[in-house]
Amino acid sequence: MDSILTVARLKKDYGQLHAVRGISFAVQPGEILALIGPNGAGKSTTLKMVATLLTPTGGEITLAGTDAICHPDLARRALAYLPEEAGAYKNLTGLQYLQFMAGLYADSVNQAVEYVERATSVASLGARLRTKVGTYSKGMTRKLLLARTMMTRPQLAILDEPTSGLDVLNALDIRQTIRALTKDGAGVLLSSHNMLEIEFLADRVAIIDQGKIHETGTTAELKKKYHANNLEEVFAKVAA
Amino acid sequence: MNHFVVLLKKELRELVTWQTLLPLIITVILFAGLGKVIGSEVKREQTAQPIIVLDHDRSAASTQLKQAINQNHFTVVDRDEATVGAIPLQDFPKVKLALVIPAGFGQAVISNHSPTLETYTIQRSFSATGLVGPAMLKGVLEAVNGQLSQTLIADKLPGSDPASLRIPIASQSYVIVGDKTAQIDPNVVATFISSQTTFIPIILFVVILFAAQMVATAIANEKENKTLETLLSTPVSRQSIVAAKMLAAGIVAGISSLIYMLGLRNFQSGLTGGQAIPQTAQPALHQLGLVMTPLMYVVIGLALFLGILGALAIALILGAFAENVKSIQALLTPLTVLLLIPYVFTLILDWSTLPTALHVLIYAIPFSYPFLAAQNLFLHQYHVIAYGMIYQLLFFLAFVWLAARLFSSEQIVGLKLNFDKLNKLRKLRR
Repeated sequence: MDSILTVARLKKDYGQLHAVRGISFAVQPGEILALIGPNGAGKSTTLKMVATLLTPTGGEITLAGTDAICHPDLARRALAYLPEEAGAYKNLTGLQYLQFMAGLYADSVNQAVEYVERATSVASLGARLRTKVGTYSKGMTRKLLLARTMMTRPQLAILDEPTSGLDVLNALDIRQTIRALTKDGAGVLLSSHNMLEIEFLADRVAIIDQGKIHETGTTAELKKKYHANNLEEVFAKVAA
Repeated sequence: MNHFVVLLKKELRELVTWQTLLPLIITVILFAGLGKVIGSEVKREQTAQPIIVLDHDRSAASTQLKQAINQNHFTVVDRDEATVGAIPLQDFPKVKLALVIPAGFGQAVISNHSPTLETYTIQRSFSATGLVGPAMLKGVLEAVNGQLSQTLIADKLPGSDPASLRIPIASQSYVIVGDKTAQIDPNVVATFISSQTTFIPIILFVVILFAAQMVATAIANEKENKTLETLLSTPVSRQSIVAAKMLAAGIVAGISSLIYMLGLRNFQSGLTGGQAIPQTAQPALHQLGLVMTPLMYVVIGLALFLGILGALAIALILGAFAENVKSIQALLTPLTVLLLIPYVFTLILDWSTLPTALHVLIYAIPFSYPFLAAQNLFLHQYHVIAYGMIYQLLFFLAFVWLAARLFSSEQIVGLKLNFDKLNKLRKLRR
């Protein structure tokens, strides 16, 4: 099966700082690949390069068959990006926000309506969708944003710390929604600090530190290889 | 679907909120109301003001003087006190003027001994409208003086022309504007032009800064609410994002400027009672081409529009450096300075007498042209207006290109000027 995303020898330098040092990985359709690593490891920089927000210093990114570095506009049609701690426009209602975002992706009014209907169902915010985003709790905003990410049925969803700062129930809700996303064949590239979340969600894990990927594999493979009981222990052993 | 229209609608929806509309509505209502209140106050000051008169002469001449005062918007309140100081002024709260006619006034007038009238202004406030009464009394006394001198000259020198004796050398004032000349007092022209154009720099300053603040705040809001990254990852061209933000701010600023302009027009017409041009001066002002025509308003509007576009392009770039909305005020300081220079120079100083270096500086600032547009129109310097508009357009295109480049680059994601860190660095250096 062709990968949705192929990243090869990806590099990002900020002057003398080498944030990402030639990493390679791939995401298959319907697969969730999690990038885990400490703060400053290069996770968010990698996600931003794949989301076409940052230009790599070197390497290749192929997204849904498109060279995402040479043709970022084309690549953006295939992806949906949810940045860490992202917000929505506070003066708009949840529904207006979804309608606005649908309008940016849709080619016709009917398609936009279809996107909004899907997002409304995913968000499960009921009547609150008609109130201003400024009045939402963090969990509600995150649900809205995740619904926005899913509404276009992207080929690749890029989720940076999707449950960061959420309470247990909201986080569980979000995780289930992410899992449902892959049933349509979408690939998911996510980063998280939460190892439990990764164990629950990820099909494969890439451990990244100081701009390099040190290990890639399924949770079971990694636990077996490092004789660890959980992903936290794997991470500690790899980092050591 | 047209993505640009979708973006534009969202920008407009974000900009047109009660928070932005309310100050606008309040300002316009306030201006219109203030104009009416001040106008009616001035009118009230001009109609039948009470004046205390201490007539120590009680002669035919003093009676005639009081009648003349009575016929010229005053109501004489006759009192018998020896001095003004003895009058219980607290009993006359509406009286602001007093006149003392000395004993022997009538005799002195007849014997040509120039009697002295004492006028007292009772200062109950220091407002501008409070000065209307004393000015009117002065005018009445001057008119009475003129009439008296005519009568005296006719009595003493029968057969002579009292008017030519009173004013042996007559003069006529002419004003030249460009290639047009008209007989008119230059003070009338200056007062009229000032009344017509004073509000223009104020409008320009407010509108340009308002538009710049809106677009910079829109960018800062995107960054503060962490919506910019999401927006930039959508399949919409960066140029569309930039253009939608600028156009939305331009539309809102344009409509606001029209509303402000109407508000100020109402304010002025309230002040002048709807009579912007003095009747006697009207033909001369028309002859000189000093009356604002609809075409002039269009030209000023166009210069203003180009000024707004330039400010929007700069603000867009400055806004990209904002970490949050709080930092916008500080980031827009360079733009405010660029606006303040032409604002101050055109409102306070005489443009024609400024040194060449200042002329160059002011002409280098693209925002100077809308400020100077009215003056240049009145002075028929159309070439300056045309060059200015071309310069404004080129300036706008250069900065919008820079803005588009900035938004198309990755710099936009991480660009910020952290004032807290700068302040800490400064303190550490000390």
